[in-house]
Amino acid sequence: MLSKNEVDHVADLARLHVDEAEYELYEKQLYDILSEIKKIEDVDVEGETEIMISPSTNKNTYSNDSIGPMLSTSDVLKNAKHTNGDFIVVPRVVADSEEI
Amino acid sequence: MYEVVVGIEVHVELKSNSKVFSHSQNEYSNEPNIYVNEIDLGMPGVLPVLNKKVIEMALQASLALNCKINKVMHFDRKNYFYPDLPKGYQITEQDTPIGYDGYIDIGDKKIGIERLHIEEDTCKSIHGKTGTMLNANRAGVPLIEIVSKPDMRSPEDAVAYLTKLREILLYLGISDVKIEEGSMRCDCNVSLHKPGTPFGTKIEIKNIGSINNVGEAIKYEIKRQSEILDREGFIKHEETRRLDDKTMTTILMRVKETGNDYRYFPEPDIPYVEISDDWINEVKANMPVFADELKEKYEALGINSNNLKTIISRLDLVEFLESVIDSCDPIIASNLLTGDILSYLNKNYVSINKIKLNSDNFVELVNNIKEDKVSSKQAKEIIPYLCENGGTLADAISKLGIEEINDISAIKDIIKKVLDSNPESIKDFKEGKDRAIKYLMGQVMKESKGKVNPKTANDLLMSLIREY
Repeated sequence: MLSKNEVDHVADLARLHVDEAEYELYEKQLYDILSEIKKIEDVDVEGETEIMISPSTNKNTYSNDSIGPMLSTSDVLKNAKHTNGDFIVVPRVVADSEEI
Repeated sequence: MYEVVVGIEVHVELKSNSKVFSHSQNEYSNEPNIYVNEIDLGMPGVLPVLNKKVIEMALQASLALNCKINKVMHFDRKNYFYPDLPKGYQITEQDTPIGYDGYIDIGDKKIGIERLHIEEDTCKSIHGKTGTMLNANRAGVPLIEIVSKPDMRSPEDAVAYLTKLREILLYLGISDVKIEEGSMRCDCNVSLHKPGTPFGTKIEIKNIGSINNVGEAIKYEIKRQSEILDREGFIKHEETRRLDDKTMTTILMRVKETGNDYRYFPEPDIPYVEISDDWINEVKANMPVFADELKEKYEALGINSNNLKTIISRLDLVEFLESVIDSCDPIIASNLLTGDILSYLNKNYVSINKIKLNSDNFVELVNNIKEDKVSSKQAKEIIPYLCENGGTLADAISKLGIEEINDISAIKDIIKKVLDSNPESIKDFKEGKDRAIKYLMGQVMKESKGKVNPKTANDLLMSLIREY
């Protein structure tokens, strides 16, 4: 089982709220997922085995440096809950006023 | 006494036509959210495709910074929840930076480069009172991040490192590297320790607005951290600060605590990138001439160090000078470029290739100055005219109405007129007072409205005065 703190941490990373009643469920479910993944540790990778990053044998798939169609500003803003002029507005994330 | 240890991370925007993983235009604009497509916004189901030009530019930078090259690279996802990243992750190169283990020479010191990797820029955020405003024009703009080793030991080292780094990137032509406009951004890690003991606790200073301010921020941190160390013996924890450029002090940034847990994993949407030896050799063979080489060349030609410094720092001036240097006197050329021409460029916020002055009329002007056919006084009027209107030197002179009087007898008449009305000065001259000649020359220039060649007039004056 995962600890309550660990569930909190994972929830926090995903910006999710966890109800008190849900902890037990998530402690078990997350533990089950980790246990499944842990099986990979049993594989013998001693020696020269290289880690496979991608299952695809494709390589060097490039686009050329050309400009293609873009969205209209009104379309860009369509999914935003809040806007101000042509900006998307989200909850404030920095305490001081400044540009980053 | 404490010793300061500095490491610097620099983010540089590359000036490709399109963004690194999409075909959106890579351009700065004051209008928000106009250069954006579905990929930049991280819409479900979109597929990023890597822009080959970006790899080439990063490869140029890596080789110019003496880095080793990861010939097989992949990209990684850096996961974090922050509103400037619509996808919830940034595509970067965590495991396989394109360049690693390089260096820059500053004077007789080597500053190590830990790594150089490609990543995408995020939305630009403006933090207001009621919320954070996002502009996605910058989302997906290609960046290279260059991480130095903690090899700098003074504010001067840091300034020299950044100046050199900026110069190299400028000469590669892969970025505007303008700190004021955000196309080059510097974060500094500063710590103090007693030599011979382990490094102290790092303080990060973010987003400093100029190279000189990096030096100022480090100077302030040395003072601030020394006081804490003297008082408390240690610095409790790492923190992020920013420079307030009004007071030249650093201020703690209260970024909401998220806990750095980026959960990097390989980006499955982008296949492996292989960099062949042929590609590396091709880039190496096409390296531009760098500032150091030009400095030597210009010094040997007799260009003074102030002019040299000014020219070297502006690529447009370098390219212009290179285009004319074999056709005219380099010293006069450099004086004009760094004098009246540069004033014109600065006044109008333009680069030299955007104005009407060109290598033809410029060479003509320099040669005429060299042969004393055009005076420096005339040049002062001619330069702004040519910058604005172009055309030939003769056109400029006639339009400005500043033709020289070339007719010797006409010049003689002017001088005689001046001599006739100044008998006192002639007397003074004959009594050995050299000042008198200066005064008479002034009168000649005034009488001729500046249209006689000063050297010719002076020679004629000296011979005519003896006849009195």
